[in-house]
Amino acid sequence: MENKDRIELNILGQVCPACLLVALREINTHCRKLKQGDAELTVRTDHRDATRTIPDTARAMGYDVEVRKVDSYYEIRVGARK
Amino acid sequence: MLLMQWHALVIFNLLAGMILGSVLYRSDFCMAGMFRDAFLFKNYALLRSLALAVVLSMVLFSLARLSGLILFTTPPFFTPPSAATLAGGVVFGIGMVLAGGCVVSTLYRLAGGNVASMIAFIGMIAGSLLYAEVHPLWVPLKAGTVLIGATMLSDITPTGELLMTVLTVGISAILFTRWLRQGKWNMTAYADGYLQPWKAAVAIAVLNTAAYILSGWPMSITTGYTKIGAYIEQLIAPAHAAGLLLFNQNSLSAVLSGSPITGGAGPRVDIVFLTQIPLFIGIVVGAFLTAVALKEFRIYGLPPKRQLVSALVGGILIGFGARMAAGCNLTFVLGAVPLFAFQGFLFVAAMVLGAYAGARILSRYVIR
Repeated sequence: MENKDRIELNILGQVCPACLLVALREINTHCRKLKQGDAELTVRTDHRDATRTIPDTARAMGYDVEVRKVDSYYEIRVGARK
Repeated sequence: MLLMQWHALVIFNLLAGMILGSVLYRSDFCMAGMFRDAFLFKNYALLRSLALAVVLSMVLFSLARLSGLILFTTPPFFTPPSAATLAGGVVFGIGMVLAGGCVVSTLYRLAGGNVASMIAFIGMIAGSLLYAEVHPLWVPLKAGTVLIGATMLSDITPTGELLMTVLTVGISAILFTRWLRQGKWNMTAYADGYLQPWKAAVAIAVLNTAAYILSGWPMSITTGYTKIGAYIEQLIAPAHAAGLLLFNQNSLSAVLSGSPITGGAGPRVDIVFLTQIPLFIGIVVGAFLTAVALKEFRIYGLPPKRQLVSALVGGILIGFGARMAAGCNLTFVLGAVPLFAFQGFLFVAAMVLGAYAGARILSRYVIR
């Protein structure tokens, strides 16, 4: 956890399909590091449906996903499967 | 309609709107998103809930009609389908994908503080006002391209309608049970207070049936948007607004126990004002209160420029398309289709085409 790259993606307030599309693009760009556990992606979104679509899609791609509410938005963490 | 007194009508629509706003916000039940995600990600999960809403409405509407609770078996604002329905549906479909929401989901999102939705809403008002300028040209086009000389399937063959209803409900029941066995109804989402979309679908069908019984016809909202625009235009350019054909016409006229009831897009208090404006306010207030209760209300500021343009243009197309077709996804998908009104099927087919085009435009030009 400590010496991992932290990739942050802030999509607060964005129009809705942006959420999944942008998150997917980010996952694909860093896919090697993410898969090997060298990096972890954190997506910040206020879009409620994204707390369904992003975890669903990322899990189907073989990642581990955690979601928690921070303040008034959601933080979705995507990382290597343990 | 059972609620003859105007204040009862207003209160009913306000309450129905508040429930709807809260339910839709919690489940994020966005029709635009359902169609877009089907094309963009081949994700059909939420379309199942939409199918449930349509079929359940079909059942409840039929039961209400059979028990004699319905006054207008043909809601007075439905007309025979024409090329206008098709054209309007395509424009509307493109618009809703670009705007990231339809006429209803835009409302519950703006109530949660989403700036892009606020801009899409302004676009919708602008789009309907733009349409008011060309309405006189559109009227003859509409009248000249009528495709079927009947409004409802039951106008041609009541037995056929009954058969179609039974058939549709029967086949859907088999499909729905299969999805139940496959566990496809329940979604995993992590948002606080998340409401399963299938529950939202049930709520929509029940509320829409209540509206049909109590308030006269299934819910609709976009004439109300045009009305809001008409009031604004009347403030800014009163002489021009007074001369517009769309504002002087009635989109709805019926006779109820001997006395006429009328309503239209013009800046005046009529049946459209008394039903659609309270519904509109209800949805916004219901969604806002829910967002506050869930501690999610917050204005995050502007999205990227491309998305802003997309939201505005999408909103304008929605407003314009809804008036071209004289209705929106709420009226046609959840009102006309369950009643086997021809306009509904034509509009849905066109809207799906438009949504496909919209999804292509979106992934090519907007999200890069």
